Amino acid sequence: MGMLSGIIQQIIFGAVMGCLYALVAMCMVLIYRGTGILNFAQGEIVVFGAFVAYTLCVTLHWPYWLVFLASFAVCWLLGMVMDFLVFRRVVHKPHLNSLMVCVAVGMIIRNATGQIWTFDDLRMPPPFSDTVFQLPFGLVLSPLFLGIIVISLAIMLVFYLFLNRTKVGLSIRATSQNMTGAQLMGVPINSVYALCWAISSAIGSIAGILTAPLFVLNVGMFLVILKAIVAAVLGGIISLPGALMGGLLLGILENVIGTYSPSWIRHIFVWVVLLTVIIAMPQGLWGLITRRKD
Amino acid sequence: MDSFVDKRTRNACLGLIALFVLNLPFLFGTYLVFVFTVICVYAIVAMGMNILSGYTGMLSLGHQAFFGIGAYAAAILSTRYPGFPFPVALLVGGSISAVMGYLLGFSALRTSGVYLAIATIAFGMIMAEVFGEWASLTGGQVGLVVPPPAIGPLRFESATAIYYLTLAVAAVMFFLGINLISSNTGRAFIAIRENEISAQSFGISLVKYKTLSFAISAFYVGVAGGIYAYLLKYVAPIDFRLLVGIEFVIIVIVGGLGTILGSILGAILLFALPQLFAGLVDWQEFVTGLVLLLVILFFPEGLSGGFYRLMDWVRDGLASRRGPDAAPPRSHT
Repeated sequence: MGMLSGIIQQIIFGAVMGCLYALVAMCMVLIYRGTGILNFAQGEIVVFGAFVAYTLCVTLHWPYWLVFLASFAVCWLLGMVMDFLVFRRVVHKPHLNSLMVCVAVGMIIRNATGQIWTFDDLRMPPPFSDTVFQLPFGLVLSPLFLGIIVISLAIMLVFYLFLNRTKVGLSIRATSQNMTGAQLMGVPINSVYALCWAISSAIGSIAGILTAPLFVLNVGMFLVILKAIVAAVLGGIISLPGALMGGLLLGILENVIGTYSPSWIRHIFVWVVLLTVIIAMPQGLWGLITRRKD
Repeated sequence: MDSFVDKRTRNACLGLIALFVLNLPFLFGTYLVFVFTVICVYAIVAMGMNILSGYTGMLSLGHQAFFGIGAYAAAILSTRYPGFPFPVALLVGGSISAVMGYLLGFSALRTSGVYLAIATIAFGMIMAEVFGEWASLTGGQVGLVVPPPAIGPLRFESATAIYYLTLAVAAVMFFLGINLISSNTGRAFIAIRENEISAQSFGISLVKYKTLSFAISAFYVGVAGGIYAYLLKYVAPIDFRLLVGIEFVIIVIVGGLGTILGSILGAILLFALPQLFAGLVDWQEFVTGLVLLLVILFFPEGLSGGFYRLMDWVRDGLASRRGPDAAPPRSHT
């Protein structure tokens, strides 16, 4: 396998991780735009969703399509409950409060997940076969990787259309632009908040089911998901296409650089990028592109 | 500072507390003395975090890095130069932290709120990797064994000696902190917290005071890290991960932002309670999260705010018994 096809192979692997980062980043963008809260608990919600799926799949032997649906529904409920109990009270409060509330909820969910299931490592069976098949030029791909890419992109597309083409999507966008204005136009903003949390938790659970087979499933997996924040910031934190770009870029660069350099560079790289983006171009990639168009 | 009780009662209370704190090693066993020393270390950390979050209104989730810098400075200096005077080691660690904090403070000029928190997370993650990978200096993932604090041939080995050392450092830092907050610098910090634009219009330089606030808080946390290294006799990168930095912020929020008393109360609550309920160690994260959540949602002033409210209530009760004119006007900082 030559150098070039090696790089291309890493780009493919990176795109798989990138799609997952993008999926979670998209959930964060939705919450940030809708409620002004940067959801630091997203990683824990994703892991919780994966654990729910583990029980349904391994203990109860449900078919995988039903597992996806059930986990989606459970996390949808979790999102609504969290919104009702906690997050509704800190909408548009100072960032210090809302951020630390997310940290607190994250700690509670993380520990509760460990208490309900286990703090040890579990093996999540993949939804699609993970045996690789050969492509031309010595490249390999597995149905699992293909499935992750297709499902993530499909969810993002559906969600994008939902947000931009439906009336409910319009009310979410209106609330994110101007809460009072939306309220005066008859948008039930409390329902909009609940919907935002429900959607982002439910999509998060799908991301969890797709991520878990790539790693071991344990409560520490939220640290992997934490990198989705980097993707969201890289994309400019308020745009869905930005989140997709940020996620893909992050996943690909991380894999390519990680393969051809010592492991500590791979670990530091993500955070150096994040620090640079925040200090040098806080509007993110999507902000740069759209500004040039104006 | 406060006038919730008359001066004589307050002095008597402070005297009793001082007596208790000074005689603590004679009252309790070695383990509890160790616990109280840890609380003192975290009280110093909390004072530093409070200068940043409570008084200047900025949030950092990366201060565990400064804790680590202080700890590694103390560890490296004491292992390489036996008998290295520990106050100098603490000052060196604190100063390196302060310089790094000053530089990190520049990111606070470009960003604020959530973005600043993410930037500090990135800084903390990078420093954690540095601690783990720069093996020739830090011992890598294995870490370093730290000799007891010493000044030349004089060594402080017992838990009691380290307790008094920590107490002395905490007292010095406490009085420095109190003086800082009531100085022009402290008032500039508070002005920035309340309103950046109006602070600027009064001639307060954001560049100067935001970076200064970061540097001072990093100095506090760095010094605390140095003591922590001497106390645990061992440093490893795992002591300086993200969750530690989050705990630092939790202490000041639960204790109460913007009061030094709150820092101490927060440190006691979050580190003494788990020691008392050792059987609940699995649930500690859950309980901490729940306490944090309840405090933010229902007691935004934290424990010290609740304490002051209680004292007001007691005083008002006394005053109404004595007559309506007895109560002096309240003024809380």
